[in-house]
Amino acid sequence: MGTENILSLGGRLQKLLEKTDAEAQEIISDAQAKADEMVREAKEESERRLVRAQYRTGLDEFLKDAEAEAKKEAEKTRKDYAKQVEKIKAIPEDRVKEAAELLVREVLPK
Amino acid sequence: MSQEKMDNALIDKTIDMRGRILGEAEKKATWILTKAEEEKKRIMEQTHKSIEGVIGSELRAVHDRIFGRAQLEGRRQLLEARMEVLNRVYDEAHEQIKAMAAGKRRGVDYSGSLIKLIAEADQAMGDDMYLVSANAKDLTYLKKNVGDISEAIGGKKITIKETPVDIIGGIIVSNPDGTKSMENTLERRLGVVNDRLQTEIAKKLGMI
Repeated sequence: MGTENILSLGGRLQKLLEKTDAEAQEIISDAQAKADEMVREAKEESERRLVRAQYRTGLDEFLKDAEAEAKKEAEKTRKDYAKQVEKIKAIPEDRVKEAAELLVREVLPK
Repeated sequence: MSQEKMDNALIDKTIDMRGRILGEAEKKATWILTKAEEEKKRIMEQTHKSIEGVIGSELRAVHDRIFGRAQLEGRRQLLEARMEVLNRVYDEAHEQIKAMAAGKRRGVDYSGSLIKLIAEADQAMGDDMYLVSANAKDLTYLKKNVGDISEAIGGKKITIKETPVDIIGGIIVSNPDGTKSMENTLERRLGVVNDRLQTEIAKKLGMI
């Protein structure tokens, strides 16, 4: 009876492992299918956009993208300049006086 | 080992193995999807480049219009900020030369400098006689020291004008017939020095 039990349990566990292998394979296959689909869609979209660009159809679509990109860059540039301006405006009075001194020294003949 | 314990051990081992197999599968699935995302990104970037090649001029025009405007505006604001600081420097220097001309700055021989300013004018003009104008305070000094001034320029004749001129300091020299004159005033000199040293000052203040 005991030996029968082990065999029967072992068999069940063996089946569980086989099922696990199948599940694992399914997880990988699903991911692969999803990945393939993702790449296929990207290629199709790429091809579609390229053809449209070549025929100059839907030019607005591309220009809209370019506009969005340029706006992003413009915003970054604006921030960079604003930072520089802020830094310049914060130059303290004692440094201004030092610089003025440089001018004054040059005003009188040596 | 009892039968029950052997069963339990076998079950634990199998469950552990199942967990490992599924864990490995999940890991591989994540790797596959990550690679796909990377490939998608690469394709889109490549497409973007190809499109740029095809309608580049139109895209550049849009870019230049939006980005160029922001850059221009940024540069303008930067320039204004620099000018604002340089004007503060100039105003401060202006105040300092006023103080200097009024004799309120220690360690500066302003009166002695007046003679040097006349000597400079003499070198530039090369005449034998000069008329010298100055503000009221400096006229008093110049009148008292006209002999020294003449000596400083090789004995040439100097006439100090009676009417003061409205300047901070320095002198205005002319020849007797008025055909030549040189404005060697402090404000004029400050203007010249200020123009000459703008870049140096901007560098000194870390603005460029």
